[in-house]
Amino acid sequence: MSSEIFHSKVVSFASYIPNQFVPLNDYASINHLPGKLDLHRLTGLEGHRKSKVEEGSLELSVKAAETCIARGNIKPEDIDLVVNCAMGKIAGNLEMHLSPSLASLIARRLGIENATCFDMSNACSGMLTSIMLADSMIKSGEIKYALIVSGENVTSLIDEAKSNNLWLKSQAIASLTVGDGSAAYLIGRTEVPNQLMFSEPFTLAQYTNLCIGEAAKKRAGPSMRTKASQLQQGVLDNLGEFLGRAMRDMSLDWEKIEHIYSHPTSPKSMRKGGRVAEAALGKMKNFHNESHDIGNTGSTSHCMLLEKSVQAGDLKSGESTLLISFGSGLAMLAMHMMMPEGIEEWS
Amino acid sequence: MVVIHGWKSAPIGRSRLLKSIASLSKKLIAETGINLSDISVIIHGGVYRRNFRVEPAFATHVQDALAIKCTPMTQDSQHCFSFDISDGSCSPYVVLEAAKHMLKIKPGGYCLITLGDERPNPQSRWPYNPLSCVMIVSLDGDGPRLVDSQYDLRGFDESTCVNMTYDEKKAKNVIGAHAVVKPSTNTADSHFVGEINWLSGRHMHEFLSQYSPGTTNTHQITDQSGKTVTATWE
Repeated sequence: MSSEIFHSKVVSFASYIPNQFVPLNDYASINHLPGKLDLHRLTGLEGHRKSKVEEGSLELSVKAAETCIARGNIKPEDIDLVVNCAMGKIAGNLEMHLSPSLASLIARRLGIENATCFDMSNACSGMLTSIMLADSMIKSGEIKYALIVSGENVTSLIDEAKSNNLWLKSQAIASLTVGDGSAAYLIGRTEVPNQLMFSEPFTLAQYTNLCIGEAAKKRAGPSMRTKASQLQQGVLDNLGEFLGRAMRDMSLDWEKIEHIYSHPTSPKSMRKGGRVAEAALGKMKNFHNESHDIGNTGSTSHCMLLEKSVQAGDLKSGESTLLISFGSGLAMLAMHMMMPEGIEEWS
Repeated sequence: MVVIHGWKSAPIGRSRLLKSIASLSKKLIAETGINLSDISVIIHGGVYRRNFRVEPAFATHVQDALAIKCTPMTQDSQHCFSFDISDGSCSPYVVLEAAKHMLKIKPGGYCLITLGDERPNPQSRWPYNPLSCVMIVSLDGDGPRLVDSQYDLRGFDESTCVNMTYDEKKAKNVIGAHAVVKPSTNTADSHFVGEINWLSGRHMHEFLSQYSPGTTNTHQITDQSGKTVTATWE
């Protein structure tokens, strides 16, 4: 017997995309990298967005959340759950928030007084993992509205990577592909079923040691070391089966989905993944691969791409949209949502 | 509601957190008579990890250490899902609430909950004596049953937040200085109230050690930030 008594939907979403664009040539030109490595040719990246000095994870999160709440047209006091899923929780001065949850601080900044708050850690899949939990809480009747938020202030990883000899520490090169940004989703009740659905989530922990984020050695802030080709191969080896199961779990017809967004480790890896997906399931209508000027923004990445689509006027209320998530661990899950009402007015 | 089928705890001592948690989990799984393949979800709750690691989730390392369903995906293969949740010392209850929902999302199995913290590095000040605590929970069965948990943020004081900060003299990222709220002494006798300097694993160890079956038990954790959670168990 199902314990679900309500249905849920994405009420609104928003991303804050920092204005400052840093071209790839400024920090990772062929002359910067070992063996004349051409990072643009390798990844398809053209650069990333960089937050202001005063914009840490908290400030970035609040910016996205304020827009999201305004688009959702609800009062902050109606929100029962706030989840933060930023990976590093890095402040502008490179201090990292540890305890209690950063979600508690975000809630207080937004005037949300009575919500349950916690931080989710599931790497780049933290956002969809958090929305999945919120969806279950809403369907059970425990809560009415949930705010899921993340601010990724991660471009200090680039400086950390470049402080090493990249000939000797090639696992730092993937750090050059990141960018700053933030994202928020407001999830709420609806009377209409199937507005928000999830695939069965999986962790393939045999790949768990392929991307490690932790404190930098002998400098402030974080570092990241990635065995990028092995991790990408792990995703590609399992992608066809995963997507087949996801379509089956959610009773979806792949070729009828209007918009598909995948976690953009890089534009080129997205193209590779897209070819595997189309070989397994057929042609995609609109595969959004527009991360060339924002980079990999961790847990915020899908929403950053969604925001670009909003700004371009590409999205319409009620359109079928699939988000495919991969995170270090290796976590794999997919979320299907119907585009929120009124989205045409957001841009 | 979630039910604890079994639990185990131990001081971390000089071993690493992952070794401590993996060893406890193996013993617990053997004692409760379930198979590793029956575990469909792993959730870790804790704040401090070795060298302030944030990625991947600690729970994925536990899954790997226990070799739970680490196989390639097919259309019928069974896999676990693992992630971390934290809210200071209140983490046990946000983890337990998440476990309840994850067991609905991935039905038919058990959730392995791991709680614990370790000193990030020798350069960090470490006034804690943490315990690792692992639990196997499901939606029904016999054992301590979590009925409700209520959070109270009214005492939350932002000046108590703990950050990782860079110590120039030590040339290391360390746990930064922080304030600690004065805990309330106005608590009903029927509550079990943990001490404010305990971390997540110790809170659950101390509560479950004195849990009394057949009656209503209440458990209150006040984090050093002033956040409070009060849970009701049957």
